[in-house]
Amino acid sequence: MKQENNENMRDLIIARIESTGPSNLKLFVGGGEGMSREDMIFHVQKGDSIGKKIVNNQINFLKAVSSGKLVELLNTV
Amino acid sequence: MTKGLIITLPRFDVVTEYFSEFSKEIIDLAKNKSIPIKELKEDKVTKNNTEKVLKKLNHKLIVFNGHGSKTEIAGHKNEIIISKENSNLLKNKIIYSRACEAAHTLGEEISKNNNCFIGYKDSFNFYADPDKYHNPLSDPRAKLFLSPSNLIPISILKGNTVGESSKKSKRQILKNIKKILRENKNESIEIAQALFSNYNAQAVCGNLNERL
Repeated sequence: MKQENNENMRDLIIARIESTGPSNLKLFVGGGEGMSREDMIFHVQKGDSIGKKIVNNQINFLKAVSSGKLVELLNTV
Repeated sequence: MTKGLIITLPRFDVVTEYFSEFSKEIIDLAKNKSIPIKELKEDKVTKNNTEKVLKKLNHKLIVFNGHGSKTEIAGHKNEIIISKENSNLLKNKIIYSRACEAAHTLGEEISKNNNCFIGYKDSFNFYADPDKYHNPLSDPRAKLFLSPSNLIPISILKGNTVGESSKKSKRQILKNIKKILRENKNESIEIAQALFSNYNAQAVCGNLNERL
């Protein structure tokens, strides 16, 4: 069940990157080369340390949006 | 301890190129305010040179640009320049580390030495436009990420406390999230998400009331 949830989450993140990931920009997460949208999807599919970071960042953002925390913070500025 | 700035400016890949270029704003402000400054540039950012400068100069504000990990800060070509082993050289200083993860363990360790350490407990993320690699300062997407991080040392140089400086920087990240979401472009959500990740990762270890 847990594995199924993880796979669903991974598929959701990949779909998000495919649809909203900037096509003309590179993302730098820590050291190394910048990642294109395709590179990001590759890391998420592979489940390596960069891929896990991408997934965690996406989940934290989605949680902040769904809980209202992000809106609350944005209303302070 | 004197009012002064030591800044490392490695420049051997895209990340360090961007960090060094965007640091010009910090250096210009220090010069305009006649604050003594020591720049360690490019291949001079070695462990040996860093230790020499930290021993010789009593400058209070130290800015590290480069790659990092939970326990180390790197310089030219990822040579480790600061770790627990030589962290005693940072006693009584204010440290800002624009490097991944260094606030996690190293920052906590350093802050025990009567220091204040600002950095990131997780990765420092930014988007950049490959067409602007030759001139990072003309890259508006990278500016969304690097300007708020510049605000930390800039605010400290202007006389604010470490706590106030980190707060100003975080407020700027939120303003930039608002700005990018208002653009309502396809890529806006992903850029906002990367900015929010930096917002969550930025941390202060030590005395928030410390100032230059």
